[in-house]
Amino acid sequence: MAVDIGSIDHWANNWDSYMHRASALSKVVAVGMIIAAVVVTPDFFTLLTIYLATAAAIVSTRLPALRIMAVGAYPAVFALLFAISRWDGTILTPMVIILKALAAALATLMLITTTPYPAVFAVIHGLLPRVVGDGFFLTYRSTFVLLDLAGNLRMALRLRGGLSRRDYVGNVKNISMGLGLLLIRSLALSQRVYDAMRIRGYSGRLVAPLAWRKVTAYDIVPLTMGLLLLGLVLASRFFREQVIQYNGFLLMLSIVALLGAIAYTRLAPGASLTGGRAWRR
Amino acid sequence: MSHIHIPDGVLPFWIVAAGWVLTVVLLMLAARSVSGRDLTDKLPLLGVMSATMIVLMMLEIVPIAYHVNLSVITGIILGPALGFIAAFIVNVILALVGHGGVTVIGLNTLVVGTETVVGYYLFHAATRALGNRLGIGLIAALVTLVTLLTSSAVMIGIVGISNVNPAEQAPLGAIVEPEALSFGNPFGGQILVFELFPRAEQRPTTVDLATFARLVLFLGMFGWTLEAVLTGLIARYLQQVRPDLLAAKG
Repeated sequence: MAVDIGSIDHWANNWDSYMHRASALSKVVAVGMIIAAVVVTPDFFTLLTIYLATAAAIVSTRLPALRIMAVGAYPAVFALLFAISRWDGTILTPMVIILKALAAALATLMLITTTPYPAVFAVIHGLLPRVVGDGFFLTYRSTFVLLDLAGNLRMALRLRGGLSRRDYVGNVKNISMGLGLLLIRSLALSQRVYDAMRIRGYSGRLVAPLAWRKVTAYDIVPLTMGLLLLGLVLASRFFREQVIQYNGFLLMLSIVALLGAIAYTRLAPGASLTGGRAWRR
Repeated sequence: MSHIHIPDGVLPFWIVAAGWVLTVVLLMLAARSVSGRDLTDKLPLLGVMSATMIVLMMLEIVPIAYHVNLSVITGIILGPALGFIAAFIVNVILALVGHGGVTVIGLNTLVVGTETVVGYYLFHAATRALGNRLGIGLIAALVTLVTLLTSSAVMIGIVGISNVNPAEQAPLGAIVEPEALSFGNPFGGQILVFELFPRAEQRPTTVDLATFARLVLFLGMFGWTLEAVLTGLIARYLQQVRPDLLAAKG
């Protein structure tokens, strides 16, 4: 199982939706509120409501939602280990732990698949020491250099018989040497990028793009979503008896939102851009 | 296994906050320790090693719930200060793509940072003490095994400490209650109630540390061995073609 960071970058940079047009700041704040809601709530059905509402938001952007949800399921495998050790005689506790992992992961994916990484990074850029800030930028750049080189390396290994089905020891040896070669080659490439940056006037501080804080009308959507979900969770904590008796309606509402988002991507004008089926890819 | 794959909202707030505070302090110290140096060569290296860790951490070996980190070789190449910074960068970016909780970035940085720092010092101590008797590859592999055992102990310790006062976890959502899906009538009573999770005899909702440690150590053994072999072979290859990369100064 692998998270396709290249695809995430492509969705953030080359897609267009109301969520893509919202400012990075509003989305960071909204995702912060959703994660706070996930942290605070102990209720299985509230977590399920949060998860489905976030999924509805992603589907409505016409991004390939099922692939994003599959990426968001990645932490569940690891959360399972912890969930097993929290066994208390009911199935509910492990399910809550796994759902917390899924809901928080989907919220961060909503942010990173609709916002270019440099814009997300710009939000925290000013708070970091110079070396850490530059490290973030160069890591981002190097990741794509590395992915390109890794693709070439894998093909070269296969073509030259470096990966065979039965020779496990040989495979590990070849992969290790390949990784070493990969490090050295990507280092040379990154060094060249860094040298080019210095020639073009880089003097130790990258200027983060200012668009991340430009308020737009589209900011209303993520902020409203974040406020509603956090408000729901806080209300169900402080007025538990009153709110919990309506949890069925709230869950139904999120299911309706998800179905509405699917219908919107299939039927609304402009859906032809992705054939109206992007959420299934 | 190395970093904590515990979701947001499960560990008590105080331990999450402590993780963040400690990470920020160590990050500032690391940044300060390299601030006077010429980092022309080191910054691209920081980017490449962080990117390598990110790409490899995203490749999960499902049956043993493990992913290779290469954090030890990162520490050996970058040194302890930049290694710790790399651990922070990696954890932030991984959290952004849904791999690992956002609130546990601080704790995860401490665990992965432990690997880079301990790996660096152990490797240099071992090469000084043993010279070329064992070979760089074998030394790097053994150091990786010891370091991963250490970081796993740190991780189990963190989970263990989180049980000091389980009552503290209740307001933070770590204790769940049996629930029903309820369609209430605003004018009184219920329209529909589904008892999906009937009340069972509940045991105390604390982590069974022994079970957790057994799972981590048992599954970790396979992953550590694989990681040690990979690290050893990479170190041997680097020794042959770029030995300067293995001679980072602390």
